[in-house]
Amino acid sequence: MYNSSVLLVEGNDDEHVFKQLFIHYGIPQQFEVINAKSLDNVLEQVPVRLKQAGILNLGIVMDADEDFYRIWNRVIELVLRLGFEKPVLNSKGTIVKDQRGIRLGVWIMPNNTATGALEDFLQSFVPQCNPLWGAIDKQLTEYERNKWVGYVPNKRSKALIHSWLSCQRDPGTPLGLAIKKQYLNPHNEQAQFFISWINELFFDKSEEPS
Amino acid sequence: MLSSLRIINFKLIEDLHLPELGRVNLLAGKNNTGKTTLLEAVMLLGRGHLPSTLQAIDALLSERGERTFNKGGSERNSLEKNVALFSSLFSKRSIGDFSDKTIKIFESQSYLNDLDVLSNQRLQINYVYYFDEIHQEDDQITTKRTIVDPNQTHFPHDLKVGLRLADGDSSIIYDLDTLTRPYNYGLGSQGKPSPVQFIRANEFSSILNPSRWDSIALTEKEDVLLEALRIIEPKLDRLTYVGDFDPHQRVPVVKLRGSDIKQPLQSMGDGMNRLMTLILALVNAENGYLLVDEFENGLHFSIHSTVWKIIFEASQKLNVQVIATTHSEDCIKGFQSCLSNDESGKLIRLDRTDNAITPVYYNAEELKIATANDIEVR
Repeated sequence: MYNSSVLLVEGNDDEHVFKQLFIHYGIPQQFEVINAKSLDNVLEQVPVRLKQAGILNLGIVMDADEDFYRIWNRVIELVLRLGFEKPVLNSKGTIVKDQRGIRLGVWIMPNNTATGALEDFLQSFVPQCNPLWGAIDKQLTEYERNKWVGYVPNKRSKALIHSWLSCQRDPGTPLGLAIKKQYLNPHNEQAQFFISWINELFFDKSEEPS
Repeated sequence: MLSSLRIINFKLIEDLHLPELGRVNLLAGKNNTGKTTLLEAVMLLGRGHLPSTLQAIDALLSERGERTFNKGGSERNSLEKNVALFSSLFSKRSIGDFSDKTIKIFESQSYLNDLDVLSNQRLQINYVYYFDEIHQEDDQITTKRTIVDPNQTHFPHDLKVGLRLADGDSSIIYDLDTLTRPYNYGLGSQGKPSPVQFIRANEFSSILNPSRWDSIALTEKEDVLLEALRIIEPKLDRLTYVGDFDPHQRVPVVKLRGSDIKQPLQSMGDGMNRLMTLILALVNAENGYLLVDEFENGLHFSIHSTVWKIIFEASQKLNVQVIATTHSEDCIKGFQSCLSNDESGKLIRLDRTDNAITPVYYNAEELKIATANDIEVR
């Protein structure tokens, strides 16, 4: 049925990264991934989507960005206002139900506990002992110390991951495509937690994926 | 103007409560959720004048090819057949069953107590057994119809079957044996009926249009009509009704700017005709109701916002309550574009689960978010 299961995400990168993850993990295309383009738009769409006839499951993914608890509190307030059970903080993602049996899932990047964004989540996709990765990290630290960089500190993980990608076989590969090309390895624990959350939200499955 | 609506036992609506109604209301929902039936219920309630309500019931049943008032002539139906004619008004009845249920259509903000009626806007319809009592007072002979309790043991020998219509003040009983128009019985004065204009889904032009035109010709309302028609044909200069083409039926003809030719409106397409009917009905509904089924029919997607703008403005000026149904996303978008300026509009979707119908309301902000993000509201 049209739009009975929807995953609302904050931006382009999220949309493409998740689509690649779903392909890799063999997740059936039985729900729609919709780019709301901003965090505020994600939150304001929630009550309206929940009014739709035939809605079954709605998932939202947001970046914690500057302050994890600020986002989390906004989520609690919204969820309670809409008549769902009180959400419990869970590093593996949150899912709550209402009396109609509709499931609402919330995932806050990177891992439902810390401040950060998609790019921090994606750090788990890079082998940490890789010499290139370590070197890039050190270099960036030096550039920061010399005040040559333009990015603010909380965007560092973005700088890190795109620098990593700029050194791969096809430099300038965007995040989603990078997963397809295996520059970012989707086979890691963080990704598996995310996929478990997706499975439970949309398919009512509780086991860990392989 | 109805602030709310409760419908019980009417056609396919067993019990529906709309706790709020705005001045302009758009109803969405799947097929068979009772949207058209709701319009018909408002048509009956909105008259506010029992003899007119009976005529409205006649019109309703005529839609299905049944005739109710005895039009004269020697042929008379059996009582059973007459009872059967009206049984389709009651919910969950097979044709011909004498229903012991009462149809109730009324304005009520409280769901819990269906006796909690806040105004006189109420209508009850049920079958009754009755007899005619003749009273003589001085020189006056009056006949009173008295309802008989079906549970009592002793029945008068001239027991009759009737259809009883009641509102807050009075009631009338329609004799189902002879189907002659009823006398007006009751305490209060009947007053005058409120205008109720009903446009069916497939009605592009209407036989009522010539008389609707007659009521508004040479008034400001004629300008409202022309302005609306210019949405589709900007060169429209003047319009009138003539009997040239067909002596039995007056038809609208128009003249465009820059041309002397009188062109029948009929030749200008379904959109023009539908729009003509819609706006004629709107301006004839002053202090009453405009009910439109499948608002979008005949109208191109690009004109919905402009048409709705005219509806919102005119309904406010003329104190018309509008209830329309739709299946169209474009119609909803057009409606939404007027909502930000006008809080008196409501979008309501009817959801049916098993036999219960639930209304889902979208406020102006939610509808704006829905149309901006392509979220389905129908």
